[in-house]
This record gives sequence, C-alpha cells and structure tokens, in this order.
Amino acid sequence: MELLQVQDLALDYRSHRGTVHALDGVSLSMAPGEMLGLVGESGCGKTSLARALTGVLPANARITRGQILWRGCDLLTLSDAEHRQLRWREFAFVPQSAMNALNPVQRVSMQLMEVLRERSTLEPAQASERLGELFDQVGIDRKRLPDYPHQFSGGMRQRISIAMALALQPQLLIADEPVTALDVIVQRQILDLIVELRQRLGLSMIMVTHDVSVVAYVCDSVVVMYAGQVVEQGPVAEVLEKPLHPYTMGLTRAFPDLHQEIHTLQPIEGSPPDLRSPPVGCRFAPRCPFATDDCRRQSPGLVPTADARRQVACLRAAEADVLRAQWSTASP
Amino acid sequence: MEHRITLTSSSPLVEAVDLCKRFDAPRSLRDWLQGRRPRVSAAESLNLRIARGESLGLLGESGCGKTTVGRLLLDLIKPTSGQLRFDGVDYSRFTAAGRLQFRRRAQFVFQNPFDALNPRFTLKRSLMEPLRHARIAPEEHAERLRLALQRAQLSRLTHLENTYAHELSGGQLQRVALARALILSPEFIVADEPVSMLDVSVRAGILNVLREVQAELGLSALYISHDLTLVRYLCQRTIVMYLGVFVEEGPTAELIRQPLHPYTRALLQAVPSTRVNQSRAPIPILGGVPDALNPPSGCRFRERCPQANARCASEVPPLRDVGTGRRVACHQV
Repeated sequence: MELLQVQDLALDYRSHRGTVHALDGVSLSMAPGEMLGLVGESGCGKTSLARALTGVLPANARITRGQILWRGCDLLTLSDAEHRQLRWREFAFVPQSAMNALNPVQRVSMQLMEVLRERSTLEPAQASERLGELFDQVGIDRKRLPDYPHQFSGGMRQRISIAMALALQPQLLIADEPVTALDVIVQRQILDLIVELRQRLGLSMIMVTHDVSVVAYVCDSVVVMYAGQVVEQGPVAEVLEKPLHPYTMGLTRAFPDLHQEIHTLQPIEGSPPDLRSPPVGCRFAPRCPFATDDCRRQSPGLVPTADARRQVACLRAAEADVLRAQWSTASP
Repeated sequence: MEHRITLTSSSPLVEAVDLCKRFDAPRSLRDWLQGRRPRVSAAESLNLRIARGESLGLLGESGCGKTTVGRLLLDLIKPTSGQLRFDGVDYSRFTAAGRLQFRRRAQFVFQNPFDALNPRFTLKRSLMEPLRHARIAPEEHAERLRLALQRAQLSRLTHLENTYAHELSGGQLQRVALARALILSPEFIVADEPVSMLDVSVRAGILNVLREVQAELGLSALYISHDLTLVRYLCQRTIVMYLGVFVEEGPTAELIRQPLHPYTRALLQAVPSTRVNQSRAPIPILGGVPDALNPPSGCRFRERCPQANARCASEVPPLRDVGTGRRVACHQV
C-alpha cells in the first residue's frame, strides 16, 4: 500500500489583498522507504504542501478540497488531537531554518526531552538514554546534550532538528530546504547523514528544495511544482535527464553543474503568475517557448506516460524529445 | 583627475599588499578582568591584484573574510595594516576630490536586491541617486540612465517615475541594482553573492547580464561567492579563501580541473552534480570550522586536513608560485 497519497489538494491563503490559491489540484503518492524530492521555485507551493502534510498551516490558510491519505486514512478529517497523535510519531517535520526552530534560552536536552516525554511513556532514565542515542545517530557527541543552541554551529543545529524529528521513530520525515542556508561542505555532510539515516532506519522522506543537484544526490523520485500545481513527476534519473515538461527542461538548463562541461546558462524568461488570479489554461504557457493557443485555453491535467512510470501535465508531452532539442534555440 | 598616475597597461587597476584587517570581538567578563582584547583576524597578510578588464572570483565559506576583503577594496572600511592602491594611488593618500572620484569609479552590487533599494523611492530616484551624489551635469542624466538600463537589459521597463521596488520581481530588482551600479560608468565593481537571493530560473539571466556587461565595458570585477559554479561562469581567475587567508589562486578553469590545496579539493568534491550517477565518496575534510578567535598555529586548515604533518603545525605555509599563474599555500604541494 502507498504510505502517503495526496489527491486533488487545493489550499488558499486569505489576505487583505485577496485570496492566494497556493495549491490547486495537487496529487502525488509515495511508497514506503521512498525518498521524494519536491522541487520548484519560491512561491510554487512546495512549502505549503509540506506544511499541509504535517498539519502545521498558518491561521489564514484553508484547505478547500482534496484528501491527504496516510496509510489510507484521510488526515484532513482528523481532529487536531488525532492529528497530533500522528505528528512526530508517524511523520515529523524538519524545518528550513534550524537557527529559528530551536528555543534559544532552553538547553537542547530539555527541548528534545519535551518531545519525548509529552508523547511517549518512556521512564526518565530510558528517555535520557534515548537522547544519547539520538545524538549518536546524527553524529554529535552526547556530552553536548546540555548545551544551548547558540553553542552549536549551523550544521550542528540542523543535525539537532533532525534528531528531534527522529525522536519518536517516525516513518516519514518531511524536510523543508534542510541544507539551503548551509555552507557547501556542511551541506554535503548533512546530505550524507540523511542518506545514511535512511539506510539505517528505513526512513521515507520528502525533501523540499529548489536545488536540482540536491535532488539528484539523495532522491529516488521527484515532483516538480510550478504555480501551485504539479507539472511533472517520476524517477529522478528520468525526469532530470529527459524532462517531459518545458518548465523542467528550463529548470535543468538554468541550473549549472560543476561536474559537467560549462555551457551557457539559459534563464526562463518572465516570472511566475500571480496566484491571486492564475492564468487560464496551462500556468506555464506565458513563459513557455512552445505554448500554442490550445495551451492558453485548456488546462492540461497530470497524465501518466505510456510506460506509467511518470506523469506530466503538458499538452505537448508527446513531442517532448523534439521540444527538448529545440529548447536551446527557442525563445518565447 | 590630477591624482591619476600614468602607468603602463600591465599595471593592475586594484592592488592589495600585505592587507590585514582585525575586528574586536565582544569581550566576556573574564576578558575584561584579565585585560584581554580578543580580536578576529578576518584578513591576514593578503596580496591581490586585479588587472583592467579582469574578473576575479573570491571563493570561500561564510565567515572566511571574503566580504571583508570586498569592503576593504571599496574603501568602505579601513585596513588594520597593509596597502591598497587603485590605479596606482594609495587609498590612504586620497584627497577629498580623489575619494569622490574613486567612489565614481568603483561600485558595489549587493547580495540582497530587496534591501539594496529604498522602498520609499521610485525606481527612477533610486537609479538617479548616484548621479546626484557624484555631481554629474543634469544634461547628462537622461542619456546615462538610458545606457545603464540598456546594459542591465531593462529597456523594457517603463514608468520608472511611478514604480516602486516592491512592484518588481527579485530578478528585475537585481537588474535595477546593477543598473544603478553602472550609471556612473565605473571601472571596477565588487559583487557580493549577486545571485544567491534569486530563484534558479532568474539567476541564469543575471549571470548572463553580468558576463555581457563586463565584456562590453571592459570592467574589472571582484565576484565574492561561496558558489563554485558562479565563479566558474564569470571569473577568469579565482582565489580560494579560508579563515582569513588565501590558500589557493589560479586561472578558474585550471583550479577547478585540478585543485591543488586540500581545502579547494574538499570544496569541489562537496558540490553535488545534477546527474544521478555521481560520486558519493566521503569528502576529504575533518571536523568543523575552528574558532576564528583562536585559529590553529601554522596552517589554518591543518586540523581539518587529512594530510597534515608536524611542519603544518609549526610553519605558516606561504602562498607561493607553482607556475602557470597558480599559487598555493600548502607545504605538501
């Protein structure tokens, strides 16, 4: 059975300047043990999706339709109390900025202990042993448990938030840009830790990121989002090396790879649409070099490919091989 | 112009000799009692030259001192010791007029375009502000504005007089910031992480603009970044910095193809590829960045270096020439 399934999820934010349709008809599914990358640019809805999954949305957010099925059970029908039972224990959230996620005036051990004691029946002695184990798992010396957050470096703090997420042995970690604010070397060390934890603990993970190379390094499959919708999903190797959607083509061409020959980077012209009044038809059409009149009228649904390994939302997906070859010379 | 000295074209536009900058660190109670003044050395005996038309990359992780170097070169902060020269003139010998001249000829492009422009100014006012400060004749203003916008590829942007920064996207804002830096026709620009705040799809556009502007105007540029791909894309030559010292320098392509310093090697290996089939071998580096207040003796990288030996602890490795324009500060090379 699928571990997690999202079906036709839509989410709005109400603000004094209008309603922002942050997610519109998002569907995805993931199998146990899978490492799923969620990529897209700022404002594409990837963080909103991650937050909706963990049930930690801001007060002005409203889910207007859809389902989030956790092992077949719809999370959106649960009460707050029931949701809280699942959070941390079944799935846990690793926030983007570990700097702000920890309480600066409380010892790290206290903060971890709080998660453990509130939600489990461990005896104090067992709980403190568990804290030690958690620090071992993320590669920090146990002796540093009583330290305060400011005594740790950025990379260590990110390790601590991973340890906290792991406290109640969840099946799924949802990490929002876990390495974005970190230096190159620390970033790599955290990625290696994530890969190691996954192998050792059999974790599933959703990794929200804008960084194509992070996805290539750690993920098995990838969901590409644009303007609140999923435009393409499938196994990482296939999606990154033979993208079917023009947006994915653009994203991979715009992203430099240090380990490949240098080539002229190509920006995607224009900017994402205003999600208070998204365009009719394909939302990428205004920036797409291959858009036709049909694209501007008709909204392409997410359709499986012939081999059923991938899904893509593009009316011209059948011509993807040709479009990919043309991308370098085309301009909108 | 009376301060310009005529020099041969091979002389660098910007030059730093033995440049040092130390900052006072916050003093703890114990420091007070013991009369100690802890100091962080953010730049330690640095030598650098930027030729006319050359783009130099300054690569390093946060806290290594790279931004300090940029601010020193633009005379925004004063060095603790050492010399800085622009077009042959020592910064400490600038007259008031000479300093004003320097401020026209050298410009800064900031990291965060959202903070770099005054939100209460119209774009036109933001763009024209440098002209006013530099006392450029009003009849030149329109033409300079047109040129700067064209160079930053913003010609399509209209209604500058009633548009504000919040109405633009990040990519457009960074182009406005660049246009503002170019409006005085500078000869030297320092760009500190010029694209790190921008989305992937617009980054490429800004990098291309920078590349074209620099080639077209023959600008000298210092690009400060942690991003190896940016430096590779924009810079002919690159310096790698670690904890306030330069550890390696060379033509960018060579340095990336065959890094000599163990730190450069680790940095390169740490960057993941966009291909699924890539090396996942552990990176050759130990531990974390040491305390900048108490850097290790000898080579500052030695505690993290897998090849360090006794000599590395006792002797500071000088940045020495190893041929073909490359310099490296390592006893093992």
